[in-house]
Formats: sequence, structure tokens, C-alpha cells
Amino acid sequence: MTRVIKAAGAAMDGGVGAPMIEVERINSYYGDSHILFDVSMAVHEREVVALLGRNGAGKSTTLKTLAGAVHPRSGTIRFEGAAIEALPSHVIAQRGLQLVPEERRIFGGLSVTENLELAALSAPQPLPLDDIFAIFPRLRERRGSYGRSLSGGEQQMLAIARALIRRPRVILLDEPFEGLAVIIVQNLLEVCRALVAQGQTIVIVEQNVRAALTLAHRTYVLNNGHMVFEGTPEALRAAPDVMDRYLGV
Amino acid sequence: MPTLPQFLSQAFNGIALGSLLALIASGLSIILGALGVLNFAHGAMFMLGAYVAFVALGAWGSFGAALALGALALLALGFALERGLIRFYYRRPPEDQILVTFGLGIMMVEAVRYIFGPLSQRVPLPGWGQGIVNFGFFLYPLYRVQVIGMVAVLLLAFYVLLYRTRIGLVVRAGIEDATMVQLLGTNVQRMFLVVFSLGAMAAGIAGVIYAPLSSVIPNMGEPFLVECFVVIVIGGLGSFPGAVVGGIVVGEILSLTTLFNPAYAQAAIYAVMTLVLIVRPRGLFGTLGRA
Ligand SMILES: Nc1ncnc2c1ncn2[C@@H]1O[C@H](COP(=O)(O)OP(=O)(O)OP(=O)(O)O)[C@@H](O)[C@H]1O
Ligand SMILES: [Mg+2]
Repeated sequence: MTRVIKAAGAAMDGGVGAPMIEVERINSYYGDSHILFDVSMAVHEREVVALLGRNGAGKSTTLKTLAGAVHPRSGTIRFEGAAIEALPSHVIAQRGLQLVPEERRIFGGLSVTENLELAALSAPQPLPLDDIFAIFPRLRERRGSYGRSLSGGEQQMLAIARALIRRPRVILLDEPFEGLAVIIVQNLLEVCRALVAQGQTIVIVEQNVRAALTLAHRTYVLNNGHMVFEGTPEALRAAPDVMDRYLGV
Repeated sequence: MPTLPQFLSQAFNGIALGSLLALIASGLSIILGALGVLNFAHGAMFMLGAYVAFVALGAWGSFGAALALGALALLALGFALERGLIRFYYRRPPEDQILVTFGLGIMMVEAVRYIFGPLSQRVPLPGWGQGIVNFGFFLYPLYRVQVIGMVAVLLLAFYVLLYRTRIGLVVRAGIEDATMVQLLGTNVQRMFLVVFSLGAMAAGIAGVIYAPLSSVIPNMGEPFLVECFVVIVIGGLGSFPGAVVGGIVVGEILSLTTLFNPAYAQAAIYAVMTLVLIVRPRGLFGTLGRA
């Protein structure tokens, strides 16, 4: 049973533009197990959308489906007007939809610089390395180090930097703050705020609901693969039943 | 007991054999690391290179022509096989991949047996490779020194390609995590084609270079294939430095054991492989833990 609680006041505020990603009733599977059930959502230009839900709700699967790492068995995903649900993941990335996966997936045998160069390879107009190092000064210090020798925080910085160097149209951030020290979370939040101020479109999945809500313009809540809520952060805070039942906050 | 000159001469043989093993195994290892396919036809590709040398040297007497032809022929064969067959097996279970590459190897060996007959054939040394080098206290065949030089240049070229070029960057990243390379916008399928073709070419070139050292025979690739598996396990799968060091180690063990008792040569490489695996389960240079 899918019941989307449409909160009042979910309309876009002034800064947000035209629809960029339109997801309509997608169903995704791993082998025989059905994970996403008729999931629909939309992301607009310059918007920050938080995708929330308990462990195993299907948040990562939704992002992977958007990025083409998982292909939905039914439903459509339009990105800037064109259907992308059947495209291979490298083509989706080339169009500017960039996933930063939960596991970070840094290349351990490549240096920091090589990780960034690899990410920049297929981008039409990559950011100069210096711009990346201005955002993450720590990565400049560690540019010659192997990915496997980085701390968790540095790996997450590099994972985000690999996305930024491509100048993506949309960044899909899967639990960027997971398992990191408070000070590093603060640092990454500032980077995210600066991106938002520049008009970067972001979809963020976070267990840290409070952190996510400070960034988001709009939120979706998934439960057992069903979309159960859509609305502004204020509307979500004003819906204690949703917070309690689906987020455990 | 062998004398010192015998020992040194055999140690040099170990480097010559080991460098050839390194060249063949580095292709095999990178194909396995990047594509996830263990190419059981790799030994047969080495054999095809040796037969190209046999034909080209017989027809024109030019080693340069044999080398160029062997490289091109195996590059083209690798290209055609990856596009026409291997790529359909990337998502298939390993047993299917093994069956298809094993079958390919058998077909190549049988085709050569059909065309050239089952008996061994001699391949002459190139004119510039005839002669003996005097190292002072022992004499050594010139061509074997040249083999070491040629393979060293080829391995250096491999190194530059892997560590100093864009395609090399994609290959090294793809060996670790092809899915992530794809998620960062680079089509790994194209890289797979390059890796398989170049791996086949390296095996072919090794065959051309090896042919004058020995005679050619249709199943000559089999022991090399088995030894290359040992090289990869010792060096660490997907690791180029591992293949080079592993190749030299295996070449030396084979050669030096032969000096004492040839019957123990094969057993010795497995003994060393077992020792390495006990100390370093992923091989000397291995970082991959492939399921
Ligand atoms: N590769 C996989 N194969 C099979 N099942 C999977 C796979 N990955 C995830 N699942 C299952 O799919 C469901 C949704 O997983 P998903 O990773 O999308 O959840 P999530 O909301 O991101 O959870 P978390 O907060 O733990 O990251 C879970 O039940 C999970 O066990
Ligand atoms: Mg997840």
C-alpha cells in the first residue's frame, strides 16, 4: 500500500527552477527481491532534496537507480526531459548526474590526484585541480598519498571532490556524514552549504536527519521501498507521526 | 655439485625464461584483474606467436618482420575475440568463462596441429643473434642476452603505458573497481577491449622471441600457461609489478632446480607458491580480494 502524505506548503520557493529529474513509478529489484515499489519523486534545478528513511528503506537503491547502477524493471526516469532509465551508468554520469556512493569507493591504489584525474577524464569541462584543492585544502596536502592510506574523513572529501571536479548538473550524496567525527561533519556541511549557495542541485541521503534538514528545501521519506511522505523540512517537523514511525526521531 | 660457471649460466637462463614469463603473465594478470576473466587461451596465443615466427623467418628470414607480424596478428586476434566472444561472458559465471577460453585454446592448438603437423619444428636464430658472449669466467649464448634486453624494453613500455597514460589510469582503476570507473563517466568496455588485445599481443611477441630458443610444437603453450598461473598467484593478481617479480622468481626457481634435478623443477615452484601464500595470502604485491 502506497500512501503519500502530501504536506501543505510543499510548493517551491523562489530560488528553485524547472524540474530536472522526474521519477515516475519505478520498481527496482536485486535479483528476485523487489526493493522499490512504484517510487515517484522530482528534483528541481537548484533544489536540495533530502531522501530519508530507516535502514534498508531503499534510499541507496533509489540513488543507484537514478545513476544507472541498478536498472528499474518498470517506470521512467527523465533527466532534463530525456528518459535515462535504460542508459548505462557512464552515459548518465556524462550527462551530469553524479553519484557519490555510500561506500565511497575510493581507488586505494591510485593517489589522490589520480583519483581526481580519473574522475575528470570524461567530463567536458572539469574544474581545475587547484579549485578542488581550494575547497578541500586537506586533499592538497595529501595529493600524492594512496587512496587506501587516507582517513575516513579524507576519503569522503575525495569522494565528493571526485564528483565536483566533473561539474555535475546534479550530485547524489549517499550518507556523506556517516561514521565521521563531528568536526569533519561540520566541515563537509560547510562545503555543502557553499555548493547550495552557488545553486548546485543536490539529492542527499542521510541518517543524520537534523543535518540533512538544515540543508534541504524539500524532503521525501521512504519506508520499505514505498514513498510515504513528501514535503518541506518544516512540514516534516510538523508531522511527528511521520518522524516517529518512519525515521525513529 | 655444479660448478660456478654452470650455476651462473643457469641463473642467466632463469632471468631469460623469467622475463618471458613476466611478459606473458603481466597480460594474463591484467586481463584477469580488469575483466575478471581468466584467459585459458593465453598459452595458445603465446604458441601462435611462436608459429608466426616459424613462418615469417622461414619465408623472409627477417626477425624484425616476424616480430611485427606476430605482434599485429595477435593484436588483431585479441581484438576480434574480445568483440566477438569474450565480452558476452563478462556477466557469466566463472565456469562459463573458463570453458569458453579453454575451448578457444584447444581450437587454436588443434588448428596449428592440423596445418603444421604434430611434430616440433626448428626456428633458426636471427643472424645478429648468433654467437657467444664471454663474461670472463663463463660463456653465454648471445641471443639469450638479447632476449633479456628485448623483454626489458617491452616491460618498460608496459610500465609507461600503465602508469603514465590515461588509458593506464583507467586500467589500474578498473582493476580495483570497474563499477566505480563506470559511475565516474568512463566506459570500461572500451578499456576491456584495449587490455585484452594488448595482453594477446604481449603473449604473441613473447612467442616470437621464445621460438628461436627452442623448437615450436602445437602444445608448447601449456606449460607456460600453468607457470604463468603460478606467477600471478605469487605476484598478486592484477598487479603488474607482481607479474614481473613473480616471473623472475619462477624463472629462477625452474632454472636453478633443473641444475640439481630437473624432476623437481615443477614441484619447486608450487612449494614456493605455497610458502608465499602462507605469508601473504594475496601474493607479494596483491591488494585485490576478489570473491
Ligand atoms: N546488492 C544487494 N543485493 C540484494 N539485496 C540488497 C542489495 N543491496 C541492498 N539490498 C537490500 O535492499 C533493501 C534496500 O537497501 P538499500 O541499501 O537501498 O537501503 P538504504 O535505505 O540505503 O539503507 P541504509 O540506511 O542501511 O543504507 C535492503 O533490504 C537491503 O537488504
Ligand atoms: Mg544506504
